[in-house]
Amino acid sequence: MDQARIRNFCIIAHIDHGKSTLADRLLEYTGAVSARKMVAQVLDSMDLERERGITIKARAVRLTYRAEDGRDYLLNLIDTPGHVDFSYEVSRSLAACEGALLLVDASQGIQAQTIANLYLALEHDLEIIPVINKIDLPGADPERVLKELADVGGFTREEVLTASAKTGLGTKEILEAIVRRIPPPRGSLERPVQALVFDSHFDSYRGVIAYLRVVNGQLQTGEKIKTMATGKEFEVTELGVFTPEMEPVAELGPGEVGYLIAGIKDVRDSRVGDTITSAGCPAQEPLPGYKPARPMVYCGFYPVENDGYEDLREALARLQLNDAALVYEAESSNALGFGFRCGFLGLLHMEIIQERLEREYGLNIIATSPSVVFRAYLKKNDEVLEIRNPSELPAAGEIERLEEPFVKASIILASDYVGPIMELCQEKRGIYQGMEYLTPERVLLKYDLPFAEILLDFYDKLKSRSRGYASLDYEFAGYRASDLVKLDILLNGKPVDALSAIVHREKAYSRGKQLVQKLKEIIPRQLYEVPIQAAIGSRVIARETVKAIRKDVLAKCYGGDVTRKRKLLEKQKEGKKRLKQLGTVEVPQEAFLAVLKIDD
Amino acid sequence: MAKPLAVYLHIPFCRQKCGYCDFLSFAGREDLFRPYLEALVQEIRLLAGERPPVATVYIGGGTPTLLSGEDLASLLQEVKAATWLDPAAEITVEANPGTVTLEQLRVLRAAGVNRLSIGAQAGQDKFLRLLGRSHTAAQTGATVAAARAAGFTNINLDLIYGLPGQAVAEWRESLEWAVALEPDHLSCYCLQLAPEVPLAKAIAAGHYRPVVEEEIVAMYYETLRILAQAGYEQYELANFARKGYECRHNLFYWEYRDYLGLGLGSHSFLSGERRVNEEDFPNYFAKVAAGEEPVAVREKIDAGRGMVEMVMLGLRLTKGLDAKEFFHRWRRDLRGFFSPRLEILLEKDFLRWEGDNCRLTPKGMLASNRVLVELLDVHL
Repeated sequence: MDQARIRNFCIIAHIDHGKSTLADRLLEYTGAVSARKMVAQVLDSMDLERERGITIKARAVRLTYRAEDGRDYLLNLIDTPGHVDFSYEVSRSLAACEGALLLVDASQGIQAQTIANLYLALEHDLEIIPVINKIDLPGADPERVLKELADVGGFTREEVLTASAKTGLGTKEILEAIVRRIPPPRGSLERPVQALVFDSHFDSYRGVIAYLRVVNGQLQTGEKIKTMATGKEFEVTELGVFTPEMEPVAELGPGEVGYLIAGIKDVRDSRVGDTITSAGCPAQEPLPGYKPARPMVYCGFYPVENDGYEDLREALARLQLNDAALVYEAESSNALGFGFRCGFLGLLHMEIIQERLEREYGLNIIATSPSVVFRAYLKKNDEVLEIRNPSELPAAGEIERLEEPFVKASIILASDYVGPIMELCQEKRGIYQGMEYLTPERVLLKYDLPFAEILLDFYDKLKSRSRGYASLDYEFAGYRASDLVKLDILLNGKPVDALSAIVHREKAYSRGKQLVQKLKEIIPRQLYEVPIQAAIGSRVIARETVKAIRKDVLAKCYGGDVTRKRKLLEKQKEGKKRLKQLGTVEVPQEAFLAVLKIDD
Repeated sequence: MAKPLAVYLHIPFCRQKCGYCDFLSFAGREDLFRPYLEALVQEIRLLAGERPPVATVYIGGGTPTLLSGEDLASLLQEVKAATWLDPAAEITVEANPGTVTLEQLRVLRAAGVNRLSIGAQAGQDKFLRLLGRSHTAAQTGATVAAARAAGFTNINLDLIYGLPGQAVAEWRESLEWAVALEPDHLSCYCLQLAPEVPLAKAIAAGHYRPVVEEEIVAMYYETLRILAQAGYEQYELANFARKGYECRHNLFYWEYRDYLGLGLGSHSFLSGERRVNEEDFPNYFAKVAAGEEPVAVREKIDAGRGMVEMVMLGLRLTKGLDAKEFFHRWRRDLRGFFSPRLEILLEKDFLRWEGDNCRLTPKGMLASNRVLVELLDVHL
C-alpha cells in the first residue's frame, strides 16, 4: 500500500458533541456501512458505552474515499476513549495518527477535556482540523466557538469547518480536508517492524485481538513476532483490517492500521502502548511512550451472599482477560467477609467494572468506597508503604509522614461561575495555579487538587455549582505530604473496616459528622438501638443513634388472620435479604457507598 | 373420638360499614338475610353425617344482632342437631350497641348463648363518630346493662386505641370508662388500617393526624397498667380477662387447635388444612345448594409452615409456648428450631425462657412481628 494514499486520523470531542454521529456519517458517505444497515453508532459496540454515551474502548475502521482529485484514499479512523480515566489510552490512539478532527459543539463551545486532548494531539505533532458541529441547532453560536478556537489553538477562521453530523451537512468537506491537510504516514518498509498496539480485545474463540498501527516495516501472516514490553513471542495467525467488519489481509505495511491475532491468551501480553516487532529481526528500540497501566483508584468488591466468592473470582478473571488495566487481589474484611481489592484507572472505570459484574455476570456485590493510593513513610528503616485500603494504614505513632496523590486540574466554565467554583476548589484543598480568559465569557481555571477530593464528589459539585456548564480535566502531578488521618466508623461500638476512610485532618470532623448522619438515614431501625460513631483513633468525634423499633403491629389475630399474618412475616423477612449482617446490626448495601455520596 | 372443635358462624351484614373496617360484611343487603340464613343452615347440616364434637360456638360478623333473637337461636339449634355440642360449651354472640334490645338478649340467653361480645371501641362519642360507628358511648353502657338484665354473666368489650388524633390521656379515659362498666373480658387492639378503607384514605389525604409510635407504646403500657389494677389479667397480646373468663373460643386459634368456620368467607383449620369459604354470595349459595362444602381455597400446611404458625400464634399468649407440646407435635426441639438470634433476644429481654416455656415480655409483644422474624428467620 502506497503510504501517500493513507490518512490516519481520530476525532477529539467532548461527550455529546457528536463524535459517534460524525463517525457514522463518514462511514456512510464512504460506503463502509450502508445507511439502512446501520444501527446508530456502530463504533461503540458495548451496550454500556451506548447507554452512557461514552466511548470506552478504542476501535478502528478503514474507509475508502475517492477524493475530488479522482484518486482513492484509505482513511483509517481510530476512535478514542472520551473520559479522563483513559487518558493514557487516548495518548496511544493519538500516537497512531497523523491528524485529528477537533469536533466542538456550536452551542456549548470547547470543553476542558477537549482542550486537554487537543494539547495532547499537538504534542504528538498531529495536524488538527477544527470542526464546529451542530450548526443547525437553534442555540448554535459558531462565532463564539471560532473565537475560542482561535484563543485555545490559534486556529484561523479559514481553517475551521462547519458541519451537522446529524444531517450530514459538511461531511464531504471534512473528508476532503482529511485528504488534503493531514500528512500521509512516512514509515520505512526497509526498517525492522515496529507496530504500535493502541488497544486489544479478548475474544473467547480467537484469543487476543490486538489493534495496531504499523509504523515501520511490514507484518506478515505466519511470521514470528515479539511484544517488546513483555518480551514474549507469538506466531501471527491472522492479520486484517476493519471495514468495519473484520477482513483478513496477508500483510500490513507501514502506515497501515489493522488487527493482529497470534494465539495471545492474555491481554496483558499485548498492552496498550507496547511495540510489536519481528522476532527474527527485531527493532533496536520500541516506539516511545509505553507506560504500564497503573491503577489510581482502589476499592473492595464483596459478594453479598457469602457463597458468591468463587463466582466473583471467576468473573474478575474473565473481565481481566479483556482489560489489562484491571488489577485485583483477594482480601478479607471483618465486616464483609472474603472479597477482592480491585484497582482501576479511575472512578468511571470502576463503575463500568462494577456494572459489568452485576449485569453480565449476574453478581450481587457490595463495593466499598473507592480510595486513592496513599504513601506512608515509616519511622523505622525509612520504609515506604503504599496504602490501597484504609485498614492497611499503620498506627499513627509508626508513621513519619503521609503523602497523597495530587492532580493538575483544568476547569473551563462560564465567567459568571468563577467565584463559586474557586470557592469549591478552595474547600477541596485546591492550590490555585492560574486563570485564563478564553473569551470574555469563558474562563480556564487551573488548580492543583488532591485526587482523593476529586474521587469524593468534586465532579458532581462542579456540575451543580456551575449549573452544568463547567468541564473538568486533570493529569497526575505526583505525591505531596498531607496531614491525613484514618477515620473509623463504629456500629454498636465495633469498628466496621469497610467504612473506614483516610481523610485530611481538617476535614475529619465534618466528614465524620456527615457520615454518621448519612448512615443514620440509611440504616433501618431494628429491635435494638444502634449507636453510630465516627472516631479518629480512640477519640469519638461524632455520634448518632438509630432508635429501636418499639412497636411492630398489635393487630388482632383470629382464625381468618393466620395466613395473612404468616405472609406478612415472610414479606418482612424478604425485605431483610438486602441487608448485610454486621454482628448484631443489619446494614443495607448502600451504606458502604455512603462514604462516597455525601451532600454538604 | 375426635378432638372437639371450635365452631365459628359468620353473619356478613351490617347496618352501615365503619370507616376502619375491612371485614367481609355488607350494608343494605336486608334482601339477603333469608336466603343467607337458609344457606347457612344447609352448610351446618352438612356436618350431620360426622357429628363432630364441639367445645365452643362463636357467632360473629358483621353484626349478628341485626338478625332477630329467634333467627340466631334457630342457628344454634341447627348446630346442636348436627354436632355433639358440649353442654358446657362457651357460646358467644357479637353485638353492636344500638342494634340490640333487651328482648332480643333475653331470647339469646334462653337459647343457650352465654357470652356476649360488645363492640364498644371507644368511650368518647367524637371517636365513635370518627370510626363511623352508629352508636354513642351511652348506648354501649345501656347495652351492657341490658345484657346483665338478660342474665349474661360473661361480657366482653372490644376497644381500639391509636385512633387518629387520640391523646394518651383520652385512651386512658376510654379504658377507665370501660372498666367502670365492669365487663368480664376486654379486647384492646391498636388501630390497623387496610389502605383501601375510608379512614385510611382520609389520613393519607391529611385530614387526621396519625398517632406516632411513642404514643402507641405509651397507650399499650397504660392498658397493661390500668387493666391489671382493675383486676383483669392479660392472657394474650391484646386480650384481658377476669380469672376464669378467658375466651375459650379464641384460645383455639392461638393454641393451634382445629376450628371450623361456617358461612360466607369463613376460615377453617382442620387436620393441618386451611380452608377459606367462598367470599361472594352466588358462589356460596350455589355450592351449598348443590350439597357441597362451599370451600374456595384449600391449603395443606406442611410441617415447616405448621411450626412457623404454631410459634407465631403461641407466642401471642402470655403463658407462652410449651417446648414439650411443640416437640410432641413436630418432633423438633423448639430451641433448635429458633435462629441463633434467640440468644440476643433473650439477653435484651424481648423473650424469656423458663423451663420448657418460652414467652414474650411486654416489650417483646409490642414489637412481636419483628421478634418473630428474627426468631423464625430461615423458616420464613
